[in-house]
Amino acid sequence: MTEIAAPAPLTREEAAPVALPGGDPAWLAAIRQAAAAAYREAPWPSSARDEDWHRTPQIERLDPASFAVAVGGGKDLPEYLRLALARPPAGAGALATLVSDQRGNLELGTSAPPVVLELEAGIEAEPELWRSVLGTVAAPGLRKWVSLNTIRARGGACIHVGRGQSPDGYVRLVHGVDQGSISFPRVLIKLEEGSSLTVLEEWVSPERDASVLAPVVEVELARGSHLTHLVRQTCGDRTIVQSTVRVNVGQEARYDGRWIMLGSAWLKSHLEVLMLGEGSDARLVGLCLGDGKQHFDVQTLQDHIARGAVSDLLYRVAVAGQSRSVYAGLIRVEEGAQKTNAYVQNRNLLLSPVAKADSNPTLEILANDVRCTHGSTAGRIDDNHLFYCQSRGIGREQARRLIVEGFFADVIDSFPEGDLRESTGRLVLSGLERLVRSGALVGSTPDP
Amino acid sequence: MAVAAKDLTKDYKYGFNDGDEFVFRSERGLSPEVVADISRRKGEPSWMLEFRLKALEHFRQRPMPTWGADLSGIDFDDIYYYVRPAEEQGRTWDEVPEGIKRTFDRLGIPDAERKFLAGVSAQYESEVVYHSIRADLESQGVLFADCDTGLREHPEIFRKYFGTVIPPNDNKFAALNSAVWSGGSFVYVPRGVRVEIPLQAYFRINIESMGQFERTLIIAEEGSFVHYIEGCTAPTYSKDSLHSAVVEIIAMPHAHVRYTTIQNWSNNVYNLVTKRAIAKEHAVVEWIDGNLGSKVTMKYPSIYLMGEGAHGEVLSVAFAGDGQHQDAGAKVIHVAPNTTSTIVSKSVSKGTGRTSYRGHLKVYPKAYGVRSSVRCDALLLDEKARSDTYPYMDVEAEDVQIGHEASVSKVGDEQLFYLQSRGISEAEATAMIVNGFIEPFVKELPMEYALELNRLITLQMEGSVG
Repeated sequence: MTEIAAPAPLTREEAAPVALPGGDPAWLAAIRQAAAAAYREAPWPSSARDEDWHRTPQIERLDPASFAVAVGGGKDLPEYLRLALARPPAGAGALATLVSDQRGNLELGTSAPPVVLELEAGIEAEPELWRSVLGTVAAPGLRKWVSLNTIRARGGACIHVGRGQSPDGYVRLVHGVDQGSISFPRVLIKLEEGSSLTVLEEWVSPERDASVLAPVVEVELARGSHLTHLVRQTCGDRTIVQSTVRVNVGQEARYDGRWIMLGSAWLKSHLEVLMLGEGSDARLVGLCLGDGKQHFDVQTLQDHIARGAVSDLLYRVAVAGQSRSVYAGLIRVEEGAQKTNAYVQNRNLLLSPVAKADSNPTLEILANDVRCTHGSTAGRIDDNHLFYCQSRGIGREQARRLIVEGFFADVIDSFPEGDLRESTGRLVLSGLERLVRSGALVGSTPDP
Repeated sequence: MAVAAKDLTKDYKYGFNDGDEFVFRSERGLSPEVVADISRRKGEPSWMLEFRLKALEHFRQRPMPTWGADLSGIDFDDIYYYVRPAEEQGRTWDEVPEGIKRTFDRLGIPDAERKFLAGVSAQYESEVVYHSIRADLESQGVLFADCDTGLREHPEIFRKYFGTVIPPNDNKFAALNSAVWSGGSFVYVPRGVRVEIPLQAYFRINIESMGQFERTLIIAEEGSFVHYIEGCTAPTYSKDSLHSAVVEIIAMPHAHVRYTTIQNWSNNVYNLVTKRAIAKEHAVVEWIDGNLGSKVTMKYPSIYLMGEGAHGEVLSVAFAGDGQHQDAGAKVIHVAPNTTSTIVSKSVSKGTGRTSYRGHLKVYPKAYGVRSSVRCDALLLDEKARSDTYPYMDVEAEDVQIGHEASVSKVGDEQLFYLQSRGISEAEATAMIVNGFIEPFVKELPMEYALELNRLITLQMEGSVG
């Protein structure tokens, strides 16, 4: 990987594009220009003015210029990345493992051409293929952070599965950031007709590191293809995450999306699935566990453009300490998208008197022969459940922990069986351990 | 077989027009002079004139809302803000001017008066024309008058509560109402008094480009009970009308107030209403809200549960036919602990109609022991119909049980088949199913309203299947 001479400016007003080390193909340079223009012209979101930033006021204070800009060179492996890589499933069963941080892809990753290539190598190898994905699934002007990532994307992956192929093993992507930097990994996934694949993404950073991780993932699923996409976010306690995952689901294709949000100081995550083909199917399941002063803002979109598509979302949230969860989920059914079946469920468990959960599932339905429903609940641990455990000799704190585990059980179970599910379960448990250590599970009300 | 959809207005029972009969009409448009003129003609105290002028100032400065329905069709300069149909208020039917009596005869008031009502305040062109209170209510100390009379005859009570629930700067349309309000009801129920018979009022818009800005203030003292019903009709016009009302309710500890509305404005009216209640300890407030008419309605009855143990309920029905947009909902704010609330919203969209549910459920940090459930169901009858649901839930306390459910669907094929296989036509079957869909709402209405509502729904259903 070549060194970059001088970092290009990156401020709240201006972001100069940074080309691939080997130079951008013309189409990519054009997209970067469009993104730079969009970034310059669009106003920064404001919690006073913008509906979807109303409960997440941090955006006003965020200045990209205050973060260290990456310089090239990807040889050494920082400790936090080494630990992340060693964590189960630790590559067992992995078809390929790619590691990136603010410098880009690190050399120790193992790609698996032609299916899995590092971002730059992939675009270089098949520019026309990735032209149909990059900036197409997620338009450069979609939002500020997508524009930024488009302008400064460095590191990530190009994953392409050919017709009818179902490679053994899963693809493991580890994206990190440290040294108070901003990292913009870009992941492009294209599955051809009838193919299938599992991709595990891990978003990591060290503790006490005020850095920004801003990934963009674009997915294109052709007819009958099936992507299982797992995201596990375990960033450090001072990291900011601004992510966009956008998926075009084709005819009879299926997208199984799963996410675990455990870390970061402040997270704003957009998950958007567009049901473009008849009979397309999207199942989205995720959880978030908050403590301290963490702030999680998750926005989802299920946009039914084609007829007869199914989308189902379950998002479970447990917030302790002074943490806050904001969730907004839109089911939109366009005119003519008859026989749509769409569901959103948001369950919020409040573990402390000052934790907050905001839930805003919305519906915009323009076709009539549909079934669209959503449900949302918020509450604390049921006293009866607590009593049940305690009357069987289980201590109060332990009981609360068991109940939260149970609360998250169906999310864990939705992960693919085997190493992936087991390791995810253990990850969530260690998150709960953290809560126990911080005293968050003691609970506020007296024993029944 | 295609059947031309019957427009509600063609078959509209109340689609008649008396011709412009009035005594005083303000100049078109809005200015401090118009406002001062209104206040002077009513003989109001100076504090009210000041209140109006300040509100006007706020109205002018405040921008139009950027959310909700499309309000671009309103031309504030093209509306008469005050019209007085008679020189003084009549006491009994005999004293009411003939033309106006004719109007109310057709609306069926005399029958209602004979059978069910305790008293009727009938509003015609911004002024209360007829007003009578039954003797037993008077003897119980219940005050039921129009707001102008309330201000004049009971200034201490009026001033104490007026504008305290909805201040003029609450939103642009509350500011407008605060500047040019006229008429509306003033209800005061003393401690422990139960008003068994519902209090009713009727409204009408008659003159082209006429605005309606009635203001209702209901005070229910400790342990009292009152049920107020508001139902309105308006003839059809080509030019747009604006209806911007404000309703304030104060329910003292252990009081129970139920406010029922059937809004059936003709399809050219912009109906932008601010309705809010404050419920103190162990009080109960119920909004029963039916939105059938108007071109655009934006209305979110709200309840602030300020006292421990208070309970709030909103039960609403919205029906949007061709070209209508019902943007309605509910707001419940749990400020005190151990408060409960229920919101049930049923909406039906037909033709190119659009219904939107917009709700806000907020629980403050010290509000422990809160139980709340929200349920929104929507029926979409035609391909071009639209339904939206925008519920906001802000929960800042831990010891709560909050649930929200929403669903959107069309009339079930199996349900239709069941009815049709028993010899019922598709149109009739659809009407039955829609009436069943809104049944939780209808069963809370007094009988004559229920009958009228069912008939209106059936009317709407004719021509909805081809």
